[in-house]
Amino acid sequence: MVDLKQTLSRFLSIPGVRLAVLVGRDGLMIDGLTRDGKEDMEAVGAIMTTGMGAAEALGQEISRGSVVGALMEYEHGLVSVDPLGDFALMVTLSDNASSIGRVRHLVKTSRNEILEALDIA
Amino acid sequence: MEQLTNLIISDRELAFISTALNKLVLDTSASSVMLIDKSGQVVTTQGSGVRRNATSLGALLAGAFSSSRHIAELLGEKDFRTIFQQGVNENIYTTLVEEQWLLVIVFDKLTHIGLVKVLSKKASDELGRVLERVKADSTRKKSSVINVEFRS
Amino acid sequence: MALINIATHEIHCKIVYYGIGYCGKTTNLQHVFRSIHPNARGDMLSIATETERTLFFDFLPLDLGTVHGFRTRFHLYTVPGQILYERTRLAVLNGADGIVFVVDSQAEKFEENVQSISELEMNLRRIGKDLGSFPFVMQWNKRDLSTALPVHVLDRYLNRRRVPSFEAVASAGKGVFATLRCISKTVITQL
Repeated sequence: MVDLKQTLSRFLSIPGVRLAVLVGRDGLMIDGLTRDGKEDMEAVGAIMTTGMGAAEALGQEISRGSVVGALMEYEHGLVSVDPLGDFALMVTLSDNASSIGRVRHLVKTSRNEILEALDIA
Repeated sequence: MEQLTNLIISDRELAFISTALNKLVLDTSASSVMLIDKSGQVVTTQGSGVRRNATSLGALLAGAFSSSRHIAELLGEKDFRTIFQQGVNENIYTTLVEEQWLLVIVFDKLTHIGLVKVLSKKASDELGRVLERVKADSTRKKSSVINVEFRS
Repeated sequence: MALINIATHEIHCKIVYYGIGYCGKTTNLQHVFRSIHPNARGDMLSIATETERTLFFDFLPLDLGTVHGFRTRFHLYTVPGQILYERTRLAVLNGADGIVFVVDSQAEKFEENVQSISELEMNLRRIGKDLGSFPFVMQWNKRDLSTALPVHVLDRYLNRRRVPSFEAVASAGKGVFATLRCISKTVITQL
């Protein structure tokens, strides 16, 4: 079975990262890992896709190109959304902003691995 | 448009199909993957899941799929080219291949639908190419297979 | 399962046309569709293959007058006849209030007809019904063909339960309405 869990676990090994979900642009979850299992990964993926839709629309409105990353800061955490080509989004939930740099770097380096696993490379 | 019954699938093409289906079974951990004609006839299946019921499953899924396209029409939708049936333990994802075949994936809750969708797109494209070759072959070969002797 | 709506004074019933492939089930419905005034019927829906063989079912809603002040609405369905669609037939049979068994009168189809009736009995048992006590009518179709068996032969071997039967040439519309009138009356009286 195509196993993205190893790739996703690398995200979770970054301190502060609680959840990593790979979701298709259609909102359906491809795979996900969460540290404590409390969040509904499918719901997070689905809602995030909608959020990205709004972000894309704004980008077009202000003629600034497509979305290359999005960050949502909450009282008790941070959600980072990183597009993987035009077919998927990597959504990570962290405790705070300190790990964002590492998350974004990991998305870049994992890109090919994920695409190959899904046979889209 | 040739129907399955008028398509001649060579051993070589059947091998291509089986390979594509097998890969899908492995990549998605599906219990079975079937390729059926739009009229319900089973072309081939891979995986251990539905062997016994394959015929009925093929017929019912084709009927359900056709129904859903009629529903699309009634709703003023252009078309429904996939249907996803979600059960408690097992799910079925069905998608149309080039207006002729249906690719059916039966998988359990350990596999996410998003993954099935992404992987089935690739398989579906591959099967589409096989179908094109089969259609081209069929027009050439039909006369040699169904010849005068066969008909008498 | 008949639906009786007291508020709107309507009775809805489901009639299923059963039989082997190509025996004339769809032809029956097509004739009804063409002959009845558009006010008294809905659109006919056919879920069929590209070569127009029934894949799932044909469906035709009809208004057939009033009975004791209740408007009677019949939903006519046909099942796909080929052997491949055995389970599909069971799915369509669900909720039926009456059945018309259409017989292809040709001698070479006799054996298939026997098997089909047997399958029908089994399917009804599966949905908790007994063909013996169920509104059931038989139609001897394709009477115009040279290989058609005599009606008394068909009646003797295929109509064990001695239910009402009608000769028909569905392609020409003969016997279609006689059959329909009978089954609808039977269904209503047995509600």
